[in-house]
Amino acid sequence: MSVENSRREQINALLNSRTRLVAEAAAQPRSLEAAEGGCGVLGFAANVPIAGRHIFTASQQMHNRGNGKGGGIAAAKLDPAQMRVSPDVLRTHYLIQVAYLDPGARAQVERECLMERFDIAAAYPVETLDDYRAAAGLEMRPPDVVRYFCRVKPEVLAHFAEANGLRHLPARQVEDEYVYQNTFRLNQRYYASLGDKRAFVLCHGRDLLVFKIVGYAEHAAAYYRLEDLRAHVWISHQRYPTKGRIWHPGGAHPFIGVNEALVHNGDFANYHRVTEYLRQRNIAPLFLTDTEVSVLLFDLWDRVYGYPLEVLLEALAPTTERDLDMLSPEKQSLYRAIQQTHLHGSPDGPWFFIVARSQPDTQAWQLLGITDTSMLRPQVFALYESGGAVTVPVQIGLIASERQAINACLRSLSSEDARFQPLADKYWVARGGSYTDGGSFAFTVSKDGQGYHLTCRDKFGKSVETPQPSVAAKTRDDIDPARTLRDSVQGASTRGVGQWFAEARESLTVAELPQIGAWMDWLIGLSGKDDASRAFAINALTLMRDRRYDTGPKKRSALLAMVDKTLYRILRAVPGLEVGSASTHRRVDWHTRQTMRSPVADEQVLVVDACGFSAEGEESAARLLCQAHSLGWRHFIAFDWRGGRFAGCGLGPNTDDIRLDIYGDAGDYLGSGLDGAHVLVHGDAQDQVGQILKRGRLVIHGDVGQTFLYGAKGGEIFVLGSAAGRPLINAVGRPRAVINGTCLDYLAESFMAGDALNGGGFAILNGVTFDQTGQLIELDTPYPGGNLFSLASGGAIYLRDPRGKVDDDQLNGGQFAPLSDADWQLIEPYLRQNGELFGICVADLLRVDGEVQPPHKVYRKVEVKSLDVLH
Amino acid sequence: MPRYHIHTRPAPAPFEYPARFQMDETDSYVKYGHRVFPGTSQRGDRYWTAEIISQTWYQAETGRIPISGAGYGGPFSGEGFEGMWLDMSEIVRPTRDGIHGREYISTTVNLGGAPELLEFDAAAHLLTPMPKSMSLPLPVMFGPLPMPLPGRGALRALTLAAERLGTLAILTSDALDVAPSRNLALRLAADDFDSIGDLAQAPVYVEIEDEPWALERWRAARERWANAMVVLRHALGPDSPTEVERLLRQGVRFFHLYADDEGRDRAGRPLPDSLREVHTHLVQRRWRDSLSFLVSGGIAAAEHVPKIIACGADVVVLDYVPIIAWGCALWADKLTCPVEKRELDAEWGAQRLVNLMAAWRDQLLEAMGAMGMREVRRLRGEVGRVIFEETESKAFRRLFPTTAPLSAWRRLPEEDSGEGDMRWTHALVASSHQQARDGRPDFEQEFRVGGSGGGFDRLAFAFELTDAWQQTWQRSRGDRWLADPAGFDMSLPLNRRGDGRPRLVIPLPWYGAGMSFGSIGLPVMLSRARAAQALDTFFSTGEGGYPDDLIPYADHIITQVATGLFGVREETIQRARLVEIKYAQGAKPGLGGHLLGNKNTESVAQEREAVQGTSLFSPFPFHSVYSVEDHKKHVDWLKQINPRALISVKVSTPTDVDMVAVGSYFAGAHIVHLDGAYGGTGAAPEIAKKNIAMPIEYAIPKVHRFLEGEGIRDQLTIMASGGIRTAYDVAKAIALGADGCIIGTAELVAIGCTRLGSCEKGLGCPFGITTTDPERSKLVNVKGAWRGIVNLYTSWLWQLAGILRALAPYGVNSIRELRGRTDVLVYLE
Repeated sequence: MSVENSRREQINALLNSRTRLVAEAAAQPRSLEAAEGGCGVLGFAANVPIAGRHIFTASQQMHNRGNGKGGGIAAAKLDPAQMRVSPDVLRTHYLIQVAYLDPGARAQVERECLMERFDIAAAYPVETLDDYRAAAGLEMRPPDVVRYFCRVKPEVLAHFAEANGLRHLPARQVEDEYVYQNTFRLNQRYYASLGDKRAFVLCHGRDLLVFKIVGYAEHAAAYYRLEDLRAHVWISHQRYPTKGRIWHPGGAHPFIGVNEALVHNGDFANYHRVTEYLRQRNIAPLFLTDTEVSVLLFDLWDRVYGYPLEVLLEALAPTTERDLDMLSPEKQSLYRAIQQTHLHGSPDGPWFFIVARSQPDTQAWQLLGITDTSMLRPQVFALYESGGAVTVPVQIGLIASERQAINACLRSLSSEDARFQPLADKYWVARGGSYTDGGSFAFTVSKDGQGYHLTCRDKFGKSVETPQPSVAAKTRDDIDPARTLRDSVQGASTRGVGQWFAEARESLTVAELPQIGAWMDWLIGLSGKDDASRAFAINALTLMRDRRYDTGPKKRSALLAMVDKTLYRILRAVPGLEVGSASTHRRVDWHTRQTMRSPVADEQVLVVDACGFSAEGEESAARLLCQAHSLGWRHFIAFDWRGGRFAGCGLGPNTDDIRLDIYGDAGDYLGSGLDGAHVLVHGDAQDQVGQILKRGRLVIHGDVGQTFLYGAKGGEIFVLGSAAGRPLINAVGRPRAVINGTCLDYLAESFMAGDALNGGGFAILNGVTFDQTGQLIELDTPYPGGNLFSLASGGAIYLRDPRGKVDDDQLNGGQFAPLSDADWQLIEPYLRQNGELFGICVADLLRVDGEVQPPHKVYRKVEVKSLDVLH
Repeated sequence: MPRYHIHTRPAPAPFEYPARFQMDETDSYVKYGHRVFPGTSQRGDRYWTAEIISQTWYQAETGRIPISGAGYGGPFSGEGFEGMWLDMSEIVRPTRDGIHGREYISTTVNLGGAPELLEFDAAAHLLTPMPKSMSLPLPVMFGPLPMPLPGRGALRALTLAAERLGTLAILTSDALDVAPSRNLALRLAADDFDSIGDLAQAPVYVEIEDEPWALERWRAARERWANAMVVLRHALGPDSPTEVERLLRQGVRFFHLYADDEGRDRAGRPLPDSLREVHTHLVQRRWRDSLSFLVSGGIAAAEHVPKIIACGADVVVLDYVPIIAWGCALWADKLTCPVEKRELDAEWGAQRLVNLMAAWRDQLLEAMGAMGMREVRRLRGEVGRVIFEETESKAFRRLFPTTAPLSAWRRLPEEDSGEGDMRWTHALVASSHQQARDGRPDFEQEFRVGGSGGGFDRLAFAFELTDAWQQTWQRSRGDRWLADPAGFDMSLPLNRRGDGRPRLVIPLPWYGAGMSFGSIGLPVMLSRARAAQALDTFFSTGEGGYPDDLIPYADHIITQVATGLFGVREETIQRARLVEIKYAQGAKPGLGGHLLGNKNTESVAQEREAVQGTSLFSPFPFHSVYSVEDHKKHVDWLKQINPRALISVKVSTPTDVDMVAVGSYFAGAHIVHLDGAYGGTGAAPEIAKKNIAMPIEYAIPKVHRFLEGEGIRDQLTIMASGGIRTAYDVAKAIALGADGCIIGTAELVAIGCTRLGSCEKGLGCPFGITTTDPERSKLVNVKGAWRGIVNLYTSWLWQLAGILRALAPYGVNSIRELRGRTDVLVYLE
């Protein structure tokens, strides 16, 4: 018998050992699959332990992604002291938590399923609030949870191995399997098979903890007192199940394999087929949700089959089409083998998984974010590493449904711990099933000589790094940048803020963070002097936020955090509507919203402190803006926006006189329906921005999310960064968009915007970004995806693609055409405006390898192709 | 790997073809349930129906998928494939519109199996040797001709088409002279096994007939052609599960499972049931994934492919379909069959098959797209996404405490003419015309039900079976069963949430369905608007916005927000009292709106801000809504834009429609609008109309009861549409659990529609109804047309009042008390 054969036989023996178990389960009558809804998911991994409250504050901000019918958390790499066991026990013992829906079941469960089978190192009930109603909003009493640290009794394990022919397997693998089966039996007996659900296992891995609740995730935290629980890896989940009255938390996420916990946003199209695949491997779901099935697949391929992570990811989310072609021949043949073996069993439909994985034997703990191949669920990744050379840096990697949740988490951390800051160094979106990043990233916490550190790698193992500040240049002792900056402001209000920025840019580069801080403190003082000074300070800080330049020895994220802090302080000092003042700027916030009134006298700018408003509905900041508009306000500065949706929606037609500046994390649907107004987002924007946008000007000083400008009819739109999937889908009329970065996929699908040269619409895709010194650089390709201009019947795409990297395969209906003079005359003014807004000169865009080239050698046009299907 | 694309072109007849086969214009109009056109009635039989034959001809000729307007007109259901509906996805699982090639959906299947798992060495290199596998870009192969045809042309056409399509044509040993240069596939009978001699090329596929010595031959073939897939043919029957298991234990991994030419197994059971049994058995025995199933017997239409794959097939094998594609009308005119009379030209024959398969592939994409699947390999065995009539009807019948024989219920006279279809019979169309004239039914012809044989047409009110009813009915004094609606509360509150938004109430329990400017022209829109105003109710714009001429009626206009977002602007949302989000349309689940180029006239293009003369596709689904929490966000968005509007959510009827409704409740919707599969439409593929999502009759009680169980039924208004033709349909829908109905086609019938079904062809409706052609639309006179709608609706109100009066003994006195009272209905067996 060859080694390979024996391995396969061992695996078969392992799966066969479940035969009786599964046969019993299959005999039970089952209702059909439980329909799964959407969700809000969040997870992070850090090289330092982090208290639970930080994830809960953040996930609270995603309430609108759940409906309070299911929340849960998982935590890995725990604190032995808090677990009341020795580090050794934490590492070697299974951490079993049983939820007793019926407290009376405990004695029986322990007798039948635990005591005789396990050596128990510690067992105790998890502390809870005395009264569940003390956790505001919790509608029913959560189950009692008892925590056990245990190992399978050696004689029990030996018997199990003997009886099932598993002697040749590593002992730990046999023990894992025993624990898995024991849990299955317990759940089957006390949860799935009976009408009354009495008890189920929350988790049973090593150094991995799970809580689930009927309620929001933070209810679990409050009730089980997890706020101070420390762990390196956390995930949380807000569930939006569509299946009705739920009174037990078994169906909430996360679901467990053995040493992994998984949360999921999405819904399978082929649930039944996947269960058939599992059934043939003696695996039966008990909770009947597709999340459970997902983790069962993961556990099979990971623990039982022992697949390398890349193989597992490919089996889950196969690489197809052009993305497969772009891989190396070796990779293609490997992936084809994986697909041939696993396609029948892989999940279809939209899904996004976050997995917490504990690998105590290798002392590694992991947080994985895995997207489906069509990127149908929202997802954002982020990475932060503290600066400072002396200590070991603090590192944290985060994954969430929304960027605002990541920032809420960082804000919470930074408010307590100076090593963190409210903004990450890097944010990005994965391209599902792609050749570029494979659509998934793993954050791994592991230990080396110096302590714990965090690495982030994509599916192909490529490491993701944060931009590091340059070493401080030696400045002359007699030059104090803070003072230079102070001086630069003199008379600047007459020269204009753009001029000031150009002059002060170098000082901003060389200054160290404390010096900038000192200058900003001074700026705060200055801004209090009069309206003009305040306006200058606001504009200067805004420019520091919007522009990309060399930040020298400071990390850009740290500088931005400081800018925000200063700006918010200045804005919060603006006199409120309720006080007497002659200021041009007046302020309103959540507490004073009832004082909203029409502007009087010289009042021009309404400053809206968006913090504290609800994300949508009558109590939202977006509604307040509409109310203020109807009262006669026309110029708005809205700041400290925390994920609230619909900013700039509902203002109505013909709002050409409105200008709205937004600072903070503007939520989904920003400017959707805009008809004339001028909206500036001083940072990144989220999903569904500019839907049905009709007229007006929308400027985004950062990236923008999914389905940007869906069904837009017009407007002038400028994006400094990149758009995610499906921008400009179904846009008609004459929208004109400049995107300086790239788009992931499906750009301008079904574009119907007339003839670009004759009053119609177009999009310019520049495919550039900035390096750390603020220099414009080309991206690897202006457009990595497929389906460019797919099935379009009008409009045009102008691609900055001097090296001809985009090919016919990426089109699906359109065709390339050379850039004509008329084309250039059309787009050049937009590129010039783009330059004014973002500081990207047209000449720099036309420069290729140091030489300025004629436009037709730099830009290409994608135009309409006459298609049968369109006639 | 380039996108798989089938190039279609007309198959030019190289010589004069036998006169019997003529593809004329009417052939593209043959639709389910329509009376077949003169000259075509002799086509086909009970199984290979006239529709199947005509549509096959159309597809073989053009390579296009059959599309028509005016909804489905065929029978309610049947057995086998006719008793299955494919599930679709909306909101919680996005479907994707695969038909128009914008989304990647793979139809590729692998033959040859795969290892159960892969093994890697320590450096993560693959150790497992991969079995040789052949991938077919389509899950379809051609079988040997089921009957001999003259000459070699037909056989050559088969092999040529298979070559071009990248699939296999299975040849018998007497056809080796037409073998392709590569990918030879053979069927060997017992007696030619030894006589076959040396082959010029090694076959890649060999199938052996299952008979006593089959296994021996199977082994011999494996030895002889080591690289070939050796397949065992097995006739499906009740013993197949155990028989297949016995054979696989002997090492057989490939099975060609077949039924007879009407899709029946040895015991006469339909192929889908028989195959499912084998598939399920082998899943339970943990074998299924190591086997490949080729399936044949009665695979006649494009929709049979996804259906049989969902029942467990890997690949289908076609038998009679190619012959029909060449012009045979099967048994009916067997004696004069053109295909049997003379040899056909191989080029011509091959191109027709290529065209047909191109159309089938597009329809497979459509079905998978609607299901939200992007890999046909993941569909194998996915019965979770199939709705079985057998299961659903059982649950449906349980709703009714009483049943009666169909014969106990009296139909009014029905004239038999060529007009109409099974759902909208000639009598129903004519009586609707009459009511639109007179404002009351004349009891001269059947005006309550159609002839679909199921659903509403199999339900009666209990009082309809009483002696009193029977007697007055017989003496044609039916008007005794009418009553003045003024005496009854017919009003319908649209906002039950108590959320501070207006408590809109309409005086009658229905309003007008969405019809876009584009599918209909301005006069029809104005007629609907005036009727809605006169009755103080609503009508929906459908996709595409509306011209300014309609602004005076804004209080009665529902602004529809559909997936193309055409004509949707803040001002049109802010103007409306009721905003309708169209997630899906029952008549074509999984597809967005589709306005063909010739109906996209100057004014339509202007309204939609698109390019005139191009076909306008709305995407499917909303690309901003891929889950239920996105759905909430979407509803919140509209609420933000218009803080006074009510929100209606229009969805079709997948199997989890109850979950969709609950999700909509949590999302803050006021109305859930269930759109069943029978609704009219400007243009929809036949495959979508007939085969996807469940009938409205099944969906209503499913949602009603589920919401009741959740304790939220009274916070939502459920509106039903998609096949509500008459006042009796309205009353039955309410008794099944809806609050009210939404009416589309009946309004058009009131204006003069005869359900011709050519809404999308050329310039649209010859009667000027579904057209945007400026000249043709003048045929509709607004003044008369809006009165027609009001008259029809008045007649309905008199009937409803009569029904309520008759239901008084059952404790039903208002339309609201009728809701959910399935006990007043009788199921007609």
